[in-house]
This record gives sequence, C-alpha cells and structure tokens, in this order.
Amino acid sequence: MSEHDVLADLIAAERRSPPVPAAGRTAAGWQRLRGSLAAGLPLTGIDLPPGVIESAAGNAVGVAKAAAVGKAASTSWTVWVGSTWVGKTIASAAVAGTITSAGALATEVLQRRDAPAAVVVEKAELIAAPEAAIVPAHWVEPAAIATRSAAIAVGAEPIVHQVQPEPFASRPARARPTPAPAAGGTVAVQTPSSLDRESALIASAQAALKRGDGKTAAAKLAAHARRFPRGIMAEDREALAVIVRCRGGDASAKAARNEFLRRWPRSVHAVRVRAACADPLK
Amino acid sequence: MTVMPPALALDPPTDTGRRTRTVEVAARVEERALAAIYGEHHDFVWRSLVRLGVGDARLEDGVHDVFIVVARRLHEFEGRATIRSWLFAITMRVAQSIRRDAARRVRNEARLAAEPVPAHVPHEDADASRTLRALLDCLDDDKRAVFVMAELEGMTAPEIAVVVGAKQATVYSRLRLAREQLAREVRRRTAHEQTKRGGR
Repeated sequence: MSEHDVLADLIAAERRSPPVPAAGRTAAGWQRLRGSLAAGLPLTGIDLPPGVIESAAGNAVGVAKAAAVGKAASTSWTVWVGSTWVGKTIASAAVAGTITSAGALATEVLQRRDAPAAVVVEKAELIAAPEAAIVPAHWVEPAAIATRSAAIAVGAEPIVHQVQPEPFASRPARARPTPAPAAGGTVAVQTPSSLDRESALIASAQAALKRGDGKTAAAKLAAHARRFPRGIMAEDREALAVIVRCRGGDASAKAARNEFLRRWPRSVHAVRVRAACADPLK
Repeated sequence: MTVMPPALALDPPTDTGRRTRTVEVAARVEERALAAIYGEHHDFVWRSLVRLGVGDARLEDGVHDVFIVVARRLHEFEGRATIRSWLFAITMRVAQSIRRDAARRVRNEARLAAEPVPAHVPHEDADASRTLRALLDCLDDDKRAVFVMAELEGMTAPEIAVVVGAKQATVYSRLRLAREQLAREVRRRTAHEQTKRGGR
C-alpha cells in the first residue's frame, strides 16, 4: 500500500466520521456565550452613527435567514448562491415587518427546502474538474453550478420556520464518543481566555472614550497593544486608537485613519472611523 | 431645579428614543441570528479547531472565542462568501492565536516531544482521525488550512481563495504541496515504524 493510498484512506475515514463534540457541550457553550455577551461584550458595533443601526438590523435578519438555510448553504458554495438569490426577494419584507411591529420581534426566519439543493450537489459532483489531477473530486467550476443552483432555486418554495430562543437544550446526543476532556460528565473549569482578557481591555478603553477620557482610553489601548500585539481584537484596538486620536486633535490622526482604512477596508468599524475623523485636524 | 415630566422621561419624542428602540430590536434580531448560526455551525467550528491543531484542553475556549468574534462582526458578513467560509476565516485566526499562546507558555509541549504516531492502515475511523491529525501537524498553517477546507470539508477552490485571501492558483498550489508533504510524512513514519519493529 503506497503512502498515497494510506493518505486517501485516512481522508476517507475522517470524512466518514468527523470529530464531534460531546453531547451537551453545544448547549453548555451557548449558555457560556450568552453569559459573556450579557456581561458586557456588545452584540453590535458601539456608537454607530444614526442610520447605520437600521441597516444593521436588516443585515442581521439576512444573516439569521442565511443561517437558517445553513444546512443547505454549508453543503456547497453554489447552494448558498441559490439560497441568497431566493432570499433577496423576501428579505426586505421580513425586515420591514420586524422593525414596525412595535417591539414585538418577528421570529420568522425564512428557510428553503434543501432537497433540491442536495440534487444540485449530486449532479455537480459529476462535472469534471479543470485540474482533476490535483483537485478533490467535488471541486467544480463555480459558474456552471451557480447556473444550475439558481435554476433549481426558482422552483423552491420558502417556508416559515420558528427559531427557538434556546435552540440547543434538547439536542439529541451524538452516537460517537468525543476526544474532548469533558466527556466524563464533569463541568470544565472555565478560566478567562485570552480573548476575555483582550475584551476587558478594549471594553475599558471604549468606556473611557465614551466618557471623554481620551488619555485613559489611549493607555488601555496601548496596554492591549503590548500584551496582544497580534490579538484577535487588534482591528478593534486600532479602530479605537484612531478615533481617540481624532477626537484628541492629534496631528497624526489623518494618517492613522487612512492607514486603518487601507489595512481594513471592509472593517465593521470603518463607518465609525470615518465619522469620527471626518476632519481630524480641525 | 427642573424636574422632568414623567411622560417625557419615559417616552422622549426624540430621535434618541426611536434610535434606542431600534437598537434594542437590532440587538434581539442579532441574538437570534447568532443563535441560528451557533446551532447550525457549532460542530463545524469545533472540528475545524481540532483539525487546525487546537488541543482538547482549549477547544471549548476556542469555540467560545470564535462565536464572540462572530457576535461582534455579524455586520461584516455580506453574503459574498458562504457563511461557512466566513466562519472558517475567523476560526483560523482564533486557532492561530491559541496555538501561539500555547507555544509561548509551554515551549516543549508533550505532544511535540511524543513519538510520532505510526501511519498505519487504520482499523477504525477513530484511529484514522488521530493519525491524520498527527500528520497535519507537519504542515504550516497556510497549507494545513487549505488541506482541511479542501479535503475534509469539501469546500470549493473559490471559497478557499476568499478565506485565505489568495488567488485560486495559490490554493491549488498549497493543496498540492500539502499532499506531497503529507505523503512524505506517511513514508517517514512508516519507515520509522518498520525500523522500530526490526530492532526488537
């Protein structure tokens, strides 16, 4: 048996039986996540200028819808294209309904039947890949599949699906054992992760900025930069640092703003940075 | 001292009041969006962290961190890529961060010092899974991520190109190199195993 055969066997086995978390860990993780978010980590961008919030709500509905069709979407790039395509025609109506219902949040999430999507994938797998020698069998020309996906999506009827606030409590246990240490039923001790520590620093910088204490904010951000120079929240730190400089009338603020926007052109903070630094030298 | 009329205090007829309500609605919509993403993709994130080399002890922290970032960045998701590729990009960053963190704290981790896991033909899938993960440790982060996405998750080349911020040609190249390197590693481990048996 050649090394290539061994490798192929290993890949096939891993695909057949991917590693899965222990039963109950998904629900426990969700509770922990909600706790962290409730404890101060914001769900949305902070201090967004008026007008951005409204579009943010729309985006969120879109994401919820997207996630609801995630089963199909996660199967293939093409299926995602099809789902998005179908969703566009109904997403705006869903957003309008949500915002105008006087606080009574609409819980409808639009979901597409995934059976046609499965058909697409099966057919797509039969298309020969352009670099068949080196690409996995499932890699195909995206344009070819997109066309098929969209064609099938036309016939797919959206259905209404209720999302439960606690979606993981009654999740059935997985049959396969897990390599996770918590499998024995013990509750893992949760120590602050580095992200928790990062978040605490960023949150305190945000709080200082909010009360107009630019000096403290800058100090917190500098501390974050020292401890987590390449941290997960480096982008958030840099955005805040630019805003602090702009509000403080720093002479280098404009250059910092331009550098931030060059480095992270699609940052969630771009709007805030632009707004705070519209005329930083004034 | 001016006392604010109760009605005005409770229901200010201003843009601020309307904006506050809008923010509340947006936050609730986002929590549901987050719940939907979490429910659908939790296992994907979990196994991706496993395959990207995050040890068992940090897995749950890793998943937590990924979804904290997801919660903070829901707005960034624009539907240009699949939600899975967006999640994988975040998962990659978190995995790298955790691995750097672990490497700093324990330079000579037991895992690194351990004997190489023999690349035997697996009798069970669980064996295969362990063997494959041990093999993946020989790849650098870039090649490992491409291999995991392409071979194990079945993601397409355009998807992967978006995730890693590279051209498709680069993706193909990394995948080819990853396979070659893994095959060499299988050969090396097999030879190691045979030598060990022969020496007994």
